[in-house]
Amino acid sequence: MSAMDDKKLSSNVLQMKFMQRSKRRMDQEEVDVTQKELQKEYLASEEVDSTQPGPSTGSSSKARTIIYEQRFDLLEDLLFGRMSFKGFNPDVEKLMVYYHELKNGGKGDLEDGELDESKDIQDDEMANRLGAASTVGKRFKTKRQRANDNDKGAGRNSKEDSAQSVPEKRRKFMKPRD
Amino acid sequence: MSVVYLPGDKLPVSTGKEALIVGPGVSRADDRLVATQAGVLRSKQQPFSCWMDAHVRRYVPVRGDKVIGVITGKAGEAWKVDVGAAELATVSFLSFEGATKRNRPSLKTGDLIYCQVLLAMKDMEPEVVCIDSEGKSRGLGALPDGGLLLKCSLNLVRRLLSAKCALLPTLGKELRFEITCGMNGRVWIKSNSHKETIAIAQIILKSEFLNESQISELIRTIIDRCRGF
Repeated sequence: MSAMDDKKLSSNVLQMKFMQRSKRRMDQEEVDVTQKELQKEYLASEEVDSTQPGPSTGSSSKARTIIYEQRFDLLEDLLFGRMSFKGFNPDVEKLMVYYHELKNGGKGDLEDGELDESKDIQDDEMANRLGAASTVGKRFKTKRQRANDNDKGAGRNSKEDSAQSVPEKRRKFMKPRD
Repeated sequence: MSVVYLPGDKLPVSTGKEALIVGPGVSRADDRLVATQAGVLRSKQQPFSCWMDAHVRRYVPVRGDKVIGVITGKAGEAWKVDVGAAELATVSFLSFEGATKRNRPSLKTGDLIYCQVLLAMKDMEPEVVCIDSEGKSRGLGALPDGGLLLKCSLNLVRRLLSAKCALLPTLGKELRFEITCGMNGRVWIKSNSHKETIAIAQIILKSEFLNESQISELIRTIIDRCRGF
């Protein structure tokens, strides 16, 4: 096939009916080649509008990379639009601090660890109120451990207050007197 | 003396190979940069950027801008918001912090919202949201009741919000107020009394064509007048 491609077929041969199909194919290939060349030319003449520096094709080595930016707050480095002075709106004052920190260094924390505004009572306050320090721990102890604790508690307190540390007597069934 | 360029003027931007950020009002024509708006050329180093600072009152929505919108009505699962653009923008019910299908934000016609432009294309109606990509409002959302809404030029708002302008901090030392500036040329002010609110509005509007030293004089004059001296 490569030999045939190197030599051009004579026009007489191409006019023959059995050659029509391949003639059409060759014309199409020619058209494709010219189209591709035109495309390449057109793209090369356009500026490379990308964020990556450096040229991608030969002729655009003269072109600079240009980025189009329409946002003024990025171009002019504007502040956040909401401001409050002398404590008129404390939420907005907090926002001002947040955005100021955001600009000057790293991410600020709008909701500082403890203050989750969706909750009326914060987590730590709730836990303390429910008695997390002692009662929740008891739930996960085994019976033996609980018994030991009670004995220990009883043992320590017996010197000071023996009456309280005596365990409650189990009430027996009392027969009703008729 | 700053030079004012007219549309069509070639801008004296250095030709080179480094990356260049082209802002609004500047366009590229072959090898040169050309002004498309009448105004003063502003530039910034690192990365090198240039844009036109033009006196414009009409707002064209840009994605990412934070603007003040006025609710004008409902449309299905969204509100119609007047943002100052050619078309009314929409804000979905779910674009607020903590909003669910059952828990809708309570807004009525006429309420003001501070929102961010999400979608802004030439042929589509803009869409705004009161939430950021993490789902937090961080200052966006409905503005408090009361206060005064001003309409001014876009460049005045940009000046108020720039780090170099001392107008708002100076005012903040004298008066107790709250202010929200939308990039669409709308400024909302709320203060303790109507008198103070009007004084602040006057200061903002009159400061447009004054320089920094004149602004402090202006503030002094108007506040004295407000306090009755």
